[in-house]
Amino acid sequence: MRVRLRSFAKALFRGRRERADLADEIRFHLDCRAKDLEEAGVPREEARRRARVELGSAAAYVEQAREARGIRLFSELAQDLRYAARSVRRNPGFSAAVAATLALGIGANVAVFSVVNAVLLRPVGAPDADQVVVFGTAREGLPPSGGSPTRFNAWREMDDLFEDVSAYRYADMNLTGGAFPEQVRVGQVSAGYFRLFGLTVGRGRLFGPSEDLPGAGGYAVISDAFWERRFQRDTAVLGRALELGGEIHQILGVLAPGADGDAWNPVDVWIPFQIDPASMDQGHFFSVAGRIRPSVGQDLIERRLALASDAFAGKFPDIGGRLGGSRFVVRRIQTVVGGDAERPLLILTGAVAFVLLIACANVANLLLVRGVGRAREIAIRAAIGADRSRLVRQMLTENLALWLLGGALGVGLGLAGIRAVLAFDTGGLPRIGADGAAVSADWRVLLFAATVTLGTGLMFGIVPAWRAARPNLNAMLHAAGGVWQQIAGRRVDGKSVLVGAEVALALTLLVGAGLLIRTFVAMRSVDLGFEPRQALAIQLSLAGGKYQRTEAVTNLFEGSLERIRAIPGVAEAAAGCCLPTGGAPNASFTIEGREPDGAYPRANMPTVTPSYFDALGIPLVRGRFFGDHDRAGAPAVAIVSQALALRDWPNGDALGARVAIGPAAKANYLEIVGVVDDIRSPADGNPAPILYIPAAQNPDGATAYYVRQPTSWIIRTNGPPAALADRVRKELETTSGLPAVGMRSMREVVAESTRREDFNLLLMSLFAAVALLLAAVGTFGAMAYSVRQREREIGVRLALGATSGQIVRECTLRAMRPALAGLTVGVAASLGLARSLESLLFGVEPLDPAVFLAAPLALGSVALAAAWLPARRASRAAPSRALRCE
Amino acid sequence: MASTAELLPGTLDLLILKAVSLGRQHGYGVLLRIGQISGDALQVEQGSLYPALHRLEHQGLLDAEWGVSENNRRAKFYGLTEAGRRRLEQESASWNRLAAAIAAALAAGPQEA
Repeated sequence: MRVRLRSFAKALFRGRRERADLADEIRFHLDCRAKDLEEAGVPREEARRRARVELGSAAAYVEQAREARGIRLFSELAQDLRYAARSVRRNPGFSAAVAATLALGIGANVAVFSVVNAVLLRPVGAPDADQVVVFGTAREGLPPSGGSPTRFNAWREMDDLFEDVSAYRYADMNLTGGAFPEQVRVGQVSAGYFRLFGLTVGRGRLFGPSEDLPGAGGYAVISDAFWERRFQRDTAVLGRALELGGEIHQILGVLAPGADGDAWNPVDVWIPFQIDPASMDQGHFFSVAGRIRPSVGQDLIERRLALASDAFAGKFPDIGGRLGGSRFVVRRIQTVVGGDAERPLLILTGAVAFVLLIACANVANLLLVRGVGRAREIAIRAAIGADRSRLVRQMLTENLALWLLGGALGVGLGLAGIRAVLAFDTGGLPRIGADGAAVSADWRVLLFAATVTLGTGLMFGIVPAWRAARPNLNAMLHAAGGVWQQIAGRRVDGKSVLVGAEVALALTLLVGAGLLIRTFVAMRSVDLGFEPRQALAIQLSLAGGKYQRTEAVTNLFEGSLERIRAIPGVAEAAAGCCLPTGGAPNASFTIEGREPDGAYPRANMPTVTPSYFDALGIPLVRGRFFGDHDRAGAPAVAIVSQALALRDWPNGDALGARVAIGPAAKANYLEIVGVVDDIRSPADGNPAPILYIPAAQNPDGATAYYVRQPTSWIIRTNGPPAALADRVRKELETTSGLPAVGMRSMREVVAESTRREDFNLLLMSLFAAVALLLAAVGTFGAMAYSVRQREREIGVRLALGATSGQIVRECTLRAMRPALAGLTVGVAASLGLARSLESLLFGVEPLDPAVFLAAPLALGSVALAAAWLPARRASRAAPSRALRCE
Repeated sequence: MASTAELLPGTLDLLILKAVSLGRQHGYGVLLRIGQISGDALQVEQGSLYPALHRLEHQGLLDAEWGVSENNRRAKFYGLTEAGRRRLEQESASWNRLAAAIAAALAAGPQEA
């Protein structure tokens, strides 16, 4: 067997070397023969001629081979391809079934991969993108955080290691003045950004370091698309003023069309960041990236980052740099570009791999069955002299042709399918463009499709080819013998193994999908802790302009809320930095009289008006809500959520405790006056620790920080919220003088925050359904076939007096054996999978009994039906028919 | 030369194995050796020699390596493997049985029929 395999491998991959050797061997023979003839007295020329004639066709063949080595392989390949095409055409039903199965499997993989490609793999648009790194501060157990002005200043000092170290962030801002107000996408970037991401100016100029200093004045560079949209490519745009968030920015230039940096959405206007080199601001609110200078090694970078971390901790001892064990890190921009979309995408990738394996097992099964059907054809060809390796090669070519057909269909199906899904819902995925426009068939997707197609084609196509080409002449030509072999029960074949493997794969995928689907369902039914019905949410960008101080914001809040409450149908109105679904900054704080034994405790810290809790329906647990008297000058107060109270005051003494915002803060204490019920994130179902701060008591500096994000208004209504939307918007725009956008009902807000989970749920369910369908079809086909093969045996036994009940029972049991083995293996594999999925599950145990019972039961029933139905049909057939039909 | 015989189908392999069993040979040597040991009675069709050699090599009955010939040229030499030796013994035995049986059958007179 080993020798056979070796010669088979050799035949399959017979290379140029061997062909050259053959030519040498023949030439040696000719020379020897000619010499012998010459010595016997034949003239030289005649001797050579005669030697060649004697050797006959071999000589001619080698002459040819010498001129065109390897041509034969190609001509054989062409012949095989012709055979393959003919065989595909001759069995249109079979070919269509195989190609459709493969198209499903490969299509699902192409669909998911094209998203993975767009989100994670597509290179960031920057020159030398693999040298571009994102800076961050890593704390133990937490993902690295972004940049603060103090850290940015520390990082840009390392300019011997990194060039173009730039701070940047993207936000929506209000563009006022001009023909009409609108909200525009703004990139606030430091001067190096354009060089870092390779953005070039098409007209005018970019801002430089001198315009990137605090107090240097307002400047702007606009994108080509924005120039077109807002200014109709008016060449007089340079020098014009843009009023962004109430501040004037002078347009310096227009970018060349194209690149967008690493922004997820196209940016309209770019303004300088103007970070003060002497800033003491510790707020993390932007990203920092830079390019590693040529020939700077990773070792050096790490040593210098460690030094810089220590120096930074020494310079700002009270922010607990060392206490929290935090240190500076850089990561390649490509590795962070997918953000938190990476993990779910990888899970989906795993799920579709299962789908493909199941599809391939189905097809391999079909091919094995067809191989048996073609045994006579093969046996005859082998008998009239077809070379064994040649037969294998030809069968493999045929199988690969089917795979290529399936692959081509799969690419089309996958891309069309994913575009349809994304047009329906983009799932909040980054970098995929409007309605998934960036998800396309680039070379990576095509290479992936080709690799997957040929890889699985070779893997699953070679065994059927090898089996079909086995020149088992005697058994095949005297085919009737097979039946008696079967009655003797000596058949363990590839089909049983495939059925078992398929059932095992399908079960594992079903269990995984079942657990994830139950997680999503559990999240959907989670008590959010607030009442999303009959409530409106509006967001307004206060960034820039006149709302930088607490007093201005408080006045806006109070004025607008008074007018909104006056609208008939409004039950309550509130405002705050953020919606309950997220967006509040996460920061550390200090508890009076306590030294933390590790890092300082952290919490989300939304600023709210007193009516916030009533408007959202958040119940009070202890103490009191904020009141109108909790304003600037009055004693500073705070309210904590139940989860935070339990975490940091497990003895229930949160009320009256005093906290200060920031690590190691020793002043500006806030007294905790109330504990309110938890709010659970609709995205992961977990209650976040929250520390509520009255918006009116926020220090001016903090207010300026909070208004960098859109500010939220929440309006509880007595009737359907949509009816009041226009009135509320008008009042709000009148009071603030700013355009309001993002007017949605709270239910839409909640739905929005679970978009990605919904998207994953949709895809997971889709793939689970496809897998179950494929496994059912495959199992059914294989089992029905194995029973049909035994029709003759069944006929014999019926004729000999066996009852049809006996036959059915015995056939079913035998057919079920591989399926039961597959279920056992599948349960074992699922246990492992469930453990590894544990961190993703919510509201469901990894060993959820419902899932672990339902999935094997569902698959087992399919297998049972697949075994029982054909057995019953065979047992009912007249014995004479069964006997005649071989 | 009048007494040369066509090879019976299937016997070429046997003759090659026998020729190689007498010592490692290159292809042309095998041809000469078969002529020599059969007293020039058996004529091998030269065109079928190399396919047969390669077939036996693929079956693992012969092994081959490149060496230097008596006239100092690079040549491919064939030798017998253990499997080849066993095959030669089997085939020789069964050929001898067959030959004896046929000889006996041909020697039979009419009275025995």
